Amino acid sequence: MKPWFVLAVALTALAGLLSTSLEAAEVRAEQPDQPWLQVLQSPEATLQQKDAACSALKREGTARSVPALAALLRHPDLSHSARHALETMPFPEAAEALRAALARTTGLVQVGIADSLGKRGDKAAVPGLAGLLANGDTQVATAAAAALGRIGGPEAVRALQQAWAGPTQATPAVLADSLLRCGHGFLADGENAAAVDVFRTLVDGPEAGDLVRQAAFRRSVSAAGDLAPTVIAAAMREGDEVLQAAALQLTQEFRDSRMTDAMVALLPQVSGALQLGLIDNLGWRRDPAAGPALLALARQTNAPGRLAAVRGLGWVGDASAVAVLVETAADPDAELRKAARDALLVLHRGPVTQSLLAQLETGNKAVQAEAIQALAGRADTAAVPRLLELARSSPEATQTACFRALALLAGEPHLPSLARLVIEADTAATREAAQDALGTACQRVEARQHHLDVTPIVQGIAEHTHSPEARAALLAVGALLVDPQVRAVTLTAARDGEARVREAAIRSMCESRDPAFLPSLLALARDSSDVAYRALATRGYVRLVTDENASLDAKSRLARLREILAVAQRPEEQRVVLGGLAAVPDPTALALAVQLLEEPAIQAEAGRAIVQIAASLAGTPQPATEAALRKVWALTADPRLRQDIEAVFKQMHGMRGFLTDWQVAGPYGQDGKDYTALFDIAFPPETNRDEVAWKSMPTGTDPQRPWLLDLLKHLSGEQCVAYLRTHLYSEEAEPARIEFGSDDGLKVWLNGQVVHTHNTARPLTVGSDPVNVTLKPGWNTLLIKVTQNNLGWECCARLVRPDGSPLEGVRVEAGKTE
Amino acid sequence: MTSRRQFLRRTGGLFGAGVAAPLFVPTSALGRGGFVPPGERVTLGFIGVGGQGGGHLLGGAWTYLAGGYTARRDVQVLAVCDVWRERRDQACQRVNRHYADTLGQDNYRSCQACTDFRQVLDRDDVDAVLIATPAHWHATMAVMAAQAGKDIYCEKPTAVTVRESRAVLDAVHRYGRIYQAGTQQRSEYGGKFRLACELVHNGRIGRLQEIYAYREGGSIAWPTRFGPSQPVPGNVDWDLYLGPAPWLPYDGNTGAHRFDVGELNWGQHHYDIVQWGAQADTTGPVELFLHEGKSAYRYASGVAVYGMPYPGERVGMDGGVCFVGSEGRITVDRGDLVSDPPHLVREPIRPEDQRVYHADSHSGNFLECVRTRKPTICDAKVAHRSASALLLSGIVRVLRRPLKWDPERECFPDDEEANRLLSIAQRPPWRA
Repeated sequence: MKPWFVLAVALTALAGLLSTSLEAAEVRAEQPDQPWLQVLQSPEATLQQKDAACSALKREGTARSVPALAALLRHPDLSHSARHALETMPFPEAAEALRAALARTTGLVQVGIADSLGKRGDKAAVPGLAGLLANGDTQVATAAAAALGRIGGPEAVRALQQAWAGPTQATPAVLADSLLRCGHGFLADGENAAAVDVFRTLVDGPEAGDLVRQAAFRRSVSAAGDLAPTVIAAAMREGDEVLQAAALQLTQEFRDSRMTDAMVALLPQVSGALQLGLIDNLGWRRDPAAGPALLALARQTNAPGRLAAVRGLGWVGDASAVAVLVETAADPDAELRKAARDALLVLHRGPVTQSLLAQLETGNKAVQAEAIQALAGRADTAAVPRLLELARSSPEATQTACFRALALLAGEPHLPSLARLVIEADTAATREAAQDALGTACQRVEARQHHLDVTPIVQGIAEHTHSPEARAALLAVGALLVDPQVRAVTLTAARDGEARVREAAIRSMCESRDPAFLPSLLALARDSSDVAYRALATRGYVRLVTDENASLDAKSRLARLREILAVAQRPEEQRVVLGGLAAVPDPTALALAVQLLEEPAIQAEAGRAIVQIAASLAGTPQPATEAALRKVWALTADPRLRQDIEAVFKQMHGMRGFLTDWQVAGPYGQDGKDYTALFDIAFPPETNRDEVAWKSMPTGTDPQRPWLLDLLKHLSGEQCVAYLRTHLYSEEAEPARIEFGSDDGLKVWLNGQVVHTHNTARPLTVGSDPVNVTLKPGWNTLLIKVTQNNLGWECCARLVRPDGSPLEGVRVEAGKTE
Repeated sequence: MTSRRQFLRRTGGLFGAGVAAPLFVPTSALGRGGFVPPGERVTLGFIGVGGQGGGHLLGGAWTYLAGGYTARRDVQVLAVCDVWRERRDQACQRVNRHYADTLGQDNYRSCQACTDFRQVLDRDDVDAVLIATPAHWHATMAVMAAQAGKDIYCEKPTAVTVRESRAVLDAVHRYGRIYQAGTQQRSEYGGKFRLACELVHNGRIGRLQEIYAYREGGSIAWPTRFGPSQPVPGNVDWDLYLGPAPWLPYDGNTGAHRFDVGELNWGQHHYDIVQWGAQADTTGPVELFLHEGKSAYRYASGVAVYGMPYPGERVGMDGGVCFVGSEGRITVDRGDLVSDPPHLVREPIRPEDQRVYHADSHSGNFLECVRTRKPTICDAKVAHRSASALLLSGIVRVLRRPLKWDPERECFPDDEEANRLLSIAQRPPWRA
């Protein structure tokens, strides 16, 4: 319910109660609460009107309105309404009214008034509330205790402590809570001694349960000021287990370094779980003062807290921790290994990079590998020069780690060196590792900068003095790039005198993601005398054509697939083309695949392509699709394919009756109006249809729900509405049922008459709103309005007979001119 | 009243110091397939098992927790509670069925169905409660749960008034409870929100100047109280549904957000990330105003926050935020993280960069913190300030005039009209 509705109710009330004279208007301007007071004082006003007046007085009421509100405090139905206004009024009169009512009420009404006095912090109410602690009504006594806790002060504490020690109906938990609050109040006022007295009663008293003791201890630590770390440490050393647990938790909450020092000093004095907890918390606090202590623990191989210490070192340690962390990262224990690796990724105090690089000089290969991995994970580009050196000279294991790191770290300035490593590699394995690193680095740099200086690669390929293997490796890297220089050098290399280079260039073209190679690939597939190249070229061509990044529409894809199909001579290549065809959701692609069904050598692949295309077209079932599927069914005995065909038929059957041909208009909205208000606001599609720019509504955007009209995807927006329109042609008057579902609200017109309204916010449920209608002979206009609160914005509509059976013979045409 | 096993869990259960696990479930439940022994599981009670609570409990289309808490091996659900009989009974049956199947013991029953949440709070063997009730109940239940010694997961909005929100923080702090708000964007969605905030904190967009919160503030308002009444069905406890809300005649609406105004439901997701990105988790606005008719505010740092989308930016509606700095902008929502210029979001965070609290699983973070007694990623302090940003924006929407706010004293200085809107009177006997 909106505030303006409350206001409207009140104003409606006023209409019958107030004069509309100019004089009255002037009174309203000077005394904003006057109209509401008149409502409260009117014997004719209803409970509803008085409640609305109280709501308005919460905001606008002056001290003058207090008596009228006070008169309602004892009213069983309106006491809450009156408190709603009085509880937050800043005037002493409001408190006085509540105090007076407290003494004259009982039961829940009295409970509410006590609560309001407590929330006001009304110290003058303490005697009255204290008296209620002995009330026989548990709810009243408890409410009084709670209120006293909120108000606080010595008098309230005395009353509460008396009740705590003696008989009372107030629940002990609330009594204890109130004493805790009072103690906190003393703390806030700087009366620490008084606070400690209260807390001590609760900590030491056997009556308090574990929870209250713990809470009181927490507060008494706050009262200790600078001595808090000492108090916490003492509790951990000497307290019982409940206070120890509370103290351990507090070691996380006190953030200054004195707490860290106290914790470090405490470490050797406690044992077991407490010691482990302390170590864990030292890391959590991220105070570098804990670094030396955790480092010492991390160095002790069998220390029980080693794992926690290693975890924490990343946050509190410095470069001096690198050696132990790298060593631990190579530990056989998986948990320790992970903790150390994680720590190395965040360690940042001191010269960490230099320390990691120093680890590369140790003879331990496992340690070297961990240091390299850490440098890579830290995105530590300062390490690249040394990694390049090591990649050239190290044993294989270290070299492999270096190349992996270089793939992640090398920037554009390092590419020539990396290309040089590819060229100068002395073994095939090294060259392959260098090639992978170069390729990954190139792609990363290109993605970041949107351009790449490919000179090192182009020169490396073009330079005939380089080994054929090196040139071939660089050509493979070239396949990852889309660049005119790379394209040119690759085409040249495809005619190279050296067979290994030629082959590498052709393979690079065939594997390239550069669509400019399409004509070359088509020519290769058509003209090459080598069947392997023809197959590779066909595969590369189809891959580029069907690549989503190529952004080709279905028609263009199909045209290019026809071209390659025309030159595909062997069944192997034709199968590849069929694979591409299957990814084109278009009836023409289906027809082409049906033609290929006649070729026995590729019949199975054609059948699979047909089923795949039909599945993507299931949202708009057509006779041709059904016929194609039946043809495949007749030709195949493959149980899996038959199963798939059945699934597509089922999907198509499920689509029967759904109306998927629509036009859309919107979104429409108005400032300050939410979806519920917009439901009843008439926008142009309702009022002046000639002005509306109707557009075609896309369907089939969700393959799992092809009948869905996804307005969010198409229009986006919140707190708005959209309209959908279509036309239905019936030969004769036809009773029908339209089963709507919508997210959110829905209003439906058939031939200009509202036939359904549902102003709501909800997720879409198919068929949630069935609407029985009668179609008139000829064209019928169906208009729907869908509101949008937030998140999903969808709808669907299915046309069936009133009994739910299929309704055949109705033509649907969204674009028909009205 | 309090759960002794919770205290002991920290000092015993977690670190294996040999404190025996209480036998609150049969030892025969020590089950097959590596099921974690009951003594090491966190025991939960679910309060409200409708769409949201049911999703947390058992998983569902929307949830970020596959299979729900029930499917987690480190959890034992001991109670489910709802004012609707069918909901609680069905939820209870499904939980018990799951455990029976998992343990291979057909008659295994550990979960209890309750109508009144106080039955759950009274159980000494329940470590934590998950509150997914209608919004007007959240803060009151959270306060009562803290007073009962329970750790708390609470759905958003975590409170419907600023004073209630403060009451939750005070109670949680008073009793040392673990609290997590249902603002899971800090943990989930592949860390997109975390990365966005870390990039902002580390100056990748230069000096932060503006934040677009995509949604306005929110507040609560009670409806007409004395309308026509329908008979209350036997399968719903209408009085408990209303709780601290004013008494209303039954009208069939037991929705979770029927009293919401503005963006009370979703807004806290957005403002939580606004607060995180602005490094304002311990503070709040200093002035509130209207910007192009929408709620807006400014922090003491000068950063302005607008309750509207960044003009022309498609990313952001799904729980998102757009941070605008002197050298670029970063927009994030559950689906996308984008920047202008685009490379800003591709630059990695480095070890020396400033980091935020890191958690990759919201439920995992909650359970880990219940065990270790560390604050959660969205603890009561964070939730209080995020909720306050939303609720204060709701107040400026109501008053339609500029306001000054003191985030330390948490009041509108010398503005009694605005201060009156910081709280609402609750229906007895409920109090937050």
